[in-house]
Amino acid sequence: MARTTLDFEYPEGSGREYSLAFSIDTLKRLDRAGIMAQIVNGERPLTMTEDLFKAAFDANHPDVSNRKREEIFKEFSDTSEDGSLLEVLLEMVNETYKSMAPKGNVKWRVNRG
Amino acid sequence: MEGESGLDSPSESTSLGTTKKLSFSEYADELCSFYMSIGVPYREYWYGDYTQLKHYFEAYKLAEDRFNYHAWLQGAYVYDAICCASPILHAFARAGTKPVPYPSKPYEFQTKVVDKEKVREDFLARWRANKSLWRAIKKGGELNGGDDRPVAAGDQVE
Repeated sequence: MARTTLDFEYPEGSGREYSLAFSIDTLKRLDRAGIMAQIVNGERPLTMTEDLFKAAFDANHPDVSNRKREEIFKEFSDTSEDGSLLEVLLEMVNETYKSMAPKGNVKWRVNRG
Repeated sequence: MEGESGLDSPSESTSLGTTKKLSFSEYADELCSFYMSIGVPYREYWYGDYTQLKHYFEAYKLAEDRFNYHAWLQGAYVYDAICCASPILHAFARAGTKPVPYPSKPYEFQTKVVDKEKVREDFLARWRANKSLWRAIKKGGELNGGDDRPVAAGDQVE
């Protein structure tokens, strides 16, 4: 199973493919910027989507400039196809976080009867 | 809202028994040393595909299981060796006592899967086949006046 990525072509029809993903290093930098704490506390500031979107370039496209990232973000439409952009990015953050923890053999679940 | 993100700060126990919430950076740093100890390269951990970590961990568990099995096997061989030598190990062993020979071959791995049902059926088939033979023997014994002792040299044969 590969990690979840956000794939798109920009500019459309140019053939330049982007595949945004998070790495543990990216999340660490987000944590130092205080964004991980905001996510944990349930805070959703307006800049969060942009911050996460721009940070997601680091894993596969670290050479893309910040200006270019901002430009793409402005062009990026907030589609509701698979949920909002923020939700997708948060899901990717969550997946990274969950994949880090070593898993034991015992399968357990919470039963909130 | 906390459950919405699915994230929760991991915690660690301190010497006083209280728990201290770890920041993500601390948590990631701590896990880095662990993953490096099981063979994940530094760059792979920080910049690579995090979904591979699961496979590294699975491989680590398999290696640990194998190591555990080998340790157990070594213990079993040592135990066997002591048991073989035990007749001469005590102070009051008779003169000329020899140790039991150590197994000439190593233990065989059990690769065959034993089908219990098949073993049972084979046993029943053999049982049925032998049953008639036992009956015949028993009947012969009864015809002989219930005396099914083997014939001895001094017995009168009619």
